[in-house]
Amino acid sequence: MPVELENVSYTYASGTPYETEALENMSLKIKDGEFVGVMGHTGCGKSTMIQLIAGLLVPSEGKVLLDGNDINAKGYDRSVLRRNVGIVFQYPEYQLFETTVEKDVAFGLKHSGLDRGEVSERVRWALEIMGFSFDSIRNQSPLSLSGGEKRRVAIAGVLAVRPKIVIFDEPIAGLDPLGREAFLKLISDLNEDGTTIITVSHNADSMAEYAKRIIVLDSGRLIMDGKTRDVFSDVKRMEELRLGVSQPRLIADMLSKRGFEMPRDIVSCGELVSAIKERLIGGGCP
Amino acid sequence: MSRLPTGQYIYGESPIHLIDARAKLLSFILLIAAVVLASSFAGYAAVFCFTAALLWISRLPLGTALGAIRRLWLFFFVIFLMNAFFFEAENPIFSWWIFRLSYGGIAQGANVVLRVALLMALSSVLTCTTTPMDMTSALQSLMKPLKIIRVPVEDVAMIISVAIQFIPTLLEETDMIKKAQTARGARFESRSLRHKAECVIPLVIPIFISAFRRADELSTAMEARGYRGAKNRTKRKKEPLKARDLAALFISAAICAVQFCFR
Amino acid sequence: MGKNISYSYMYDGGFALALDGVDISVGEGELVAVLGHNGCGKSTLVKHFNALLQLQSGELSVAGLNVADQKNVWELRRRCGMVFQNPDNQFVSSSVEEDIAFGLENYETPRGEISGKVRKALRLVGMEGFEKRSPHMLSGGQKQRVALAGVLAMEPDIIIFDEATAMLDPAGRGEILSVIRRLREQERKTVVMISHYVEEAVFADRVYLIHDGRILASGTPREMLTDEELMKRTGLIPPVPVRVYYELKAAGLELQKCPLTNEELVEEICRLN
Repeated sequence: MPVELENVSYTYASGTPYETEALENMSLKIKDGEFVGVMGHTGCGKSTMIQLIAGLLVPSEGKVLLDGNDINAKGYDRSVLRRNVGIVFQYPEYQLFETTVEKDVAFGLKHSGLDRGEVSERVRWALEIMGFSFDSIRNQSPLSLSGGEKRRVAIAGVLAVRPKIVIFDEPIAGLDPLGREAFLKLISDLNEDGTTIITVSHNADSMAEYAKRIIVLDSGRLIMDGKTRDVFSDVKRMEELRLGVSQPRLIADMLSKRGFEMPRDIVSCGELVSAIKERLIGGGCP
Repeated sequence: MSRLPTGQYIYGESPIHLIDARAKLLSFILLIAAVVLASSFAGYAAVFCFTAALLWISRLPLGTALGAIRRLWLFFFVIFLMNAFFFEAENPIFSWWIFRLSYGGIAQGANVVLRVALLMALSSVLTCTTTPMDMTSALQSLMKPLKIIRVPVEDVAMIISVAIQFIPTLLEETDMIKKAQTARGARFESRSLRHKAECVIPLVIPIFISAFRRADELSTAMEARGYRGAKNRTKRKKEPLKARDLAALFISAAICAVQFCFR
Repeated sequence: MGKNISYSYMYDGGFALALDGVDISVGEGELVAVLGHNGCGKSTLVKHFNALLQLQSGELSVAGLNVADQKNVWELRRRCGMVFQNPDNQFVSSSVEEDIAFGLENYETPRGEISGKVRKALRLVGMEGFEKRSPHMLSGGQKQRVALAGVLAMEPDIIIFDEATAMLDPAGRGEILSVIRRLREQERKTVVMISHYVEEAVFADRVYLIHDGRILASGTPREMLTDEELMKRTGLIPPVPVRVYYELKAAGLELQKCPLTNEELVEEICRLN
């Protein structure tokens, strides 16, 4: 189910002197099964953009198309949008409210028309995907869990609807290193199974490792869009934008400068290691 | 963040900003009284013009200062209609079943709406031009008489000021949680009252939890910075009221008195 | 402040021990990093330093003051300041200047001295000119710098950063880290920072690794961060250069020493070449 932004602009028209985020004439197409990393400074418009895609904001100009249909058109069935596009906000653990984990995860399925057995099956599936044992967690109070567990329950609540597209806003903020790795692995598995992933993140290293396409926003405009490899190879531009460069890329550049030639498209740690190996074992000295 | 929440202090150097917070708070109370007392057309015109003048002098961005009024237009509209149609007037223009539209009703509706809007505008002027800490010390000195009956005046003032300071954060969070639940299928967008009612719990519970969490973190932070009750703190300088503060008080009192006399 | 902090104690966190016989000492002017995964007890530990949590067993003295003595709590909190994780939940005023003055007012600093101290603190964190702004309208990094200024205004000897960078973007994190470095070099403050970003510990004098309420190990950043096995046991991931070193080693390429920084890694590889 492709998503398309067509000349979308968004302004906070309230006329305050503090207009912080806006989008300007943005066009973008995200196809099925993509893994898109969205980067940019606070206030660059990225959170506006994901909220527009999820239909939580209505563009001032332009259209947001889901599967070719304008989601803000009169008569558009919003439930199609809600079933297919899930959004996980920053610190999603704050949205939990039910008395048990099972009920909370099932919240999104309330109006789905599924019967109880199906709902329960979905909830089990979503919780297991998030690494829980359904039977031991289902009756616990979401509020008694640890921070990381709460977050996974909240995400299960979004996944239970089985959206074709899942949007994450800074999903790894506040997680510790192992938590981050496990989590990124998980969304990358989801992506392998065909779910489109759109994720906002500041973390250049993990985006380099997992995203397949990177788009960069600055002051409400789309300024870079391409394969992860290509975007991160433009070290100069990324540094100008103060977005950080993936460390392996940085090391490869430093090596090249010292005369130890490295390919120009290294972005992940694995790539760096194999390039060095190749140079030292396979290549010989210059 | 989508907009500057209403009622938040906005830095400025207008004459209104410079008025001593105590004088401002007292004037505010007097002006509220004036608005409540106003009954004639002339009376309303006077308080209306005065409020408009205050907004103009304070150089506040109107969109922000009056944002709350605009956002509540539906509420105002409903109040207006209720008054217009249910007012017990002698000669209705039009009546059907229980509805009786009358001139008296329309006047009454306009009356109520204008009054509430003016009160909101006035409180906006007050909170947008006074820093929370100034407000705290003003409350403290104005509440001083309560000390006699052992009200912990300093602490109450501190609580009020900290609570005001947290409003923007909580509003922002409310917006976020509302969006998150909408995306999960809560029907905030629905026009049906039943659907709207169903959305209350998924919104209110997370906000409560979050407010408690924030309050907890804030109190830890305050403790860590050496707070041990508001009593033993550096006292604010007791500046005597200046001419402009007295002028403000005098003008407010005059408006209030005039309204009272012409009732 | 020449005293070392040393103590061991147990803390009953409801169901289990949050801290189990921890010994830690921080020397004057030292920059100490405490690392561990979420929930390992590191936050619980440092909240004892300024008596936000009461000592249940063991001994602890900070800045020469016995923490267990209730009489000291007040002075302790002035000499040992703390910057918290969530930038939004530590402001009491919607004006930067008033917020920074909050701590000073708590200690009944004479009114006349306050504004000078506020200005000095803002200068230390590079936020001059923001006096009248509302903290609410600042970026994450700026908020944390204002929070730090609020602590610095009280002229403490020790500053604790309780995961102060966890909620910031890379730019904000960079801002805070460079201020920390400057504090240490120019002001000779003792700094304790707790974090789960191993990269932040690279420039510390000493690193403590905490796991399940116990100290697993302590030593220089080099000793700690380059020990893959130890990192794994702590539930942390070593910095990129260290990871590259071990992966090359697994492939039979042994660098002379394990690098800690990018520069060292490049140096080592070029040497091999």
